Amino acid sequence: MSTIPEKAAETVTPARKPAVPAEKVKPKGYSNPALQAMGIPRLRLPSRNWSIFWAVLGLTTGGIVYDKYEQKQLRKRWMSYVQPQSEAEVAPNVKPRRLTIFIAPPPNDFLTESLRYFKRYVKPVLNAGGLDFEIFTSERQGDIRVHVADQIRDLRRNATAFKQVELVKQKNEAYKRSWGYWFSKFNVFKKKEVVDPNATKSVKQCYTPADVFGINYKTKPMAVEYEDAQFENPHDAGGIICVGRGVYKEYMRGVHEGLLGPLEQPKVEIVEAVEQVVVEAETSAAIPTLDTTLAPATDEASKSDFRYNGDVDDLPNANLKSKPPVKAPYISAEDYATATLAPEFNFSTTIRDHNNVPVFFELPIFVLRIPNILGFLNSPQRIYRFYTKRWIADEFNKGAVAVALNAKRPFTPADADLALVEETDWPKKWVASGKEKASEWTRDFKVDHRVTSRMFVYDATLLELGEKKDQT
Amino acid sequence: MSFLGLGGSPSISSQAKIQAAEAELDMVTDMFNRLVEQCHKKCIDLSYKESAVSKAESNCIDRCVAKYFETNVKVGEHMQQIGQTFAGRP
Repeated sequence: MSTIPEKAAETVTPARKPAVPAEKVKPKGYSNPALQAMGIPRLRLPSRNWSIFWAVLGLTTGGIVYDKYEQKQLRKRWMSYVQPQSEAEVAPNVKPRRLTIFIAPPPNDFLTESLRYFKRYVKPVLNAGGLDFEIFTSERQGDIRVHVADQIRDLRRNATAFKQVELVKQKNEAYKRSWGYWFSKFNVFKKKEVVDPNATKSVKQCYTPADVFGINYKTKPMAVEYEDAQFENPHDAGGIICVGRGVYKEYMRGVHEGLLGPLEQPKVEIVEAVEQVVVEAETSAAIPTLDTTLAPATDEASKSDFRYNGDVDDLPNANLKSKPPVKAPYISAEDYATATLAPEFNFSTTIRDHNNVPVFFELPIFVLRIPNILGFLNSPQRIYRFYTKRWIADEFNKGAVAVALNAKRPFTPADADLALVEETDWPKKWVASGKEKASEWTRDFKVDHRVTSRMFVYDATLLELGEKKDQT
Repeated sequence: MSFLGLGGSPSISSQAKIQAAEAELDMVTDMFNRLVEQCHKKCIDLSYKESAVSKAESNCIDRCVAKYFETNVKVGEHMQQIGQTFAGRP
């Protein structure tokens, strides 16, 4: 009843403007006499929705931009500490100090993640310091341990071979001083060797690329010298960087295995059982081929745990794409105490190789922790870490500077727990399944005193940096 | 690169040998000149503060030369393969 006259009123006056809703009134904005004098118009905030949008966008990008800016400033600062040593003159035949770097993928993730930390935060400092480095990456657990242990075993074998070469040299020199040599040298009735001038020779025998370039035409060829061999303190040479706690464990196990373990792989019991079965078969039937001895289908003994003891070529069906399984350790951690320390080496001084460069396992170690967490429920933590990478950058840069400037101290028993913090980031399910399988990274980590008493560790807290350098 | 062992076969005449050697010399000197130009551009600081090469520069030069050689060899092998497949086709 009451609405009818209003309707009539609306229809009677069609020329009146429609009422504007209250929310669409434009706020006046802020101004003051100073701003007005400068000619700045009234300052107005955008609408609520736009304000929210710009605020969210600004915070997210601002956080990233600020973090990257801070990382860059830190990087410049840490690089400036090592820059002066890269400006030193070096002769063209001198090879600079060479680090060895081991990188493995973090648990349940890809190698690119670890490599990214290395490339962004460690590599610039090493390059600024004029250090050379050699990187060994692995895609699966155990590769680094096998590589390190193999290298140490090769050194041990070469040490004995080197000693034999020395013996032969001494024999030859003694022979040269003897009467027999004098007579053979001045024997006039020796036949001269006939050389056929028309015989074709390979290019390599006629000349080398250096001869084409004329490098040695006027100047004498220079022998390669190693800066690592010339340090007064042999522990200033080279260095090892382990990128990740798992890598550190593998490296230490590899060194222990190489120094305390045997030179040849010990035969596993299962192989002996297979051989027994093979011997029985031989007496009764035809000679077994390689396929039958390695095929686990017929032998019950080899069904349980197939341990691989040979080279790639021994496998009957070598799939070129997939790598052979990781070699089992030559010595287990329980046997460290009863094993003898490598008899081929002379442990009273620093062990050096044929170039007089200190061997890699004598050199100090630095361990970097990779802060990589996975999981949907860890998202808040991951977002927080995404915005605070500058702290990780600082830690890694500082460590790289410690390595470059040789800030080191002897290994203490507490150093078995270097970078233990990283294990809190490892996914729990991964760790649990690893413990079931007794995988490399989750096994108990034991060190032997005889091996670690010779080791050194780089420590960033020992850096004496002096005044802050200019950041220009 | 034929430094990797051009096996001697007695049927090649001396004329062909000389030509092959000349071609190889051309290739090698060309590669060397390019290598020097590229690595100089990338590695050496043009402010010339001192006459000798510094540690950082020498590291850079070592890496540059090694990479250049490796790339050159790989590309050469690849080109050879392509050449063979095209030569094999009628």
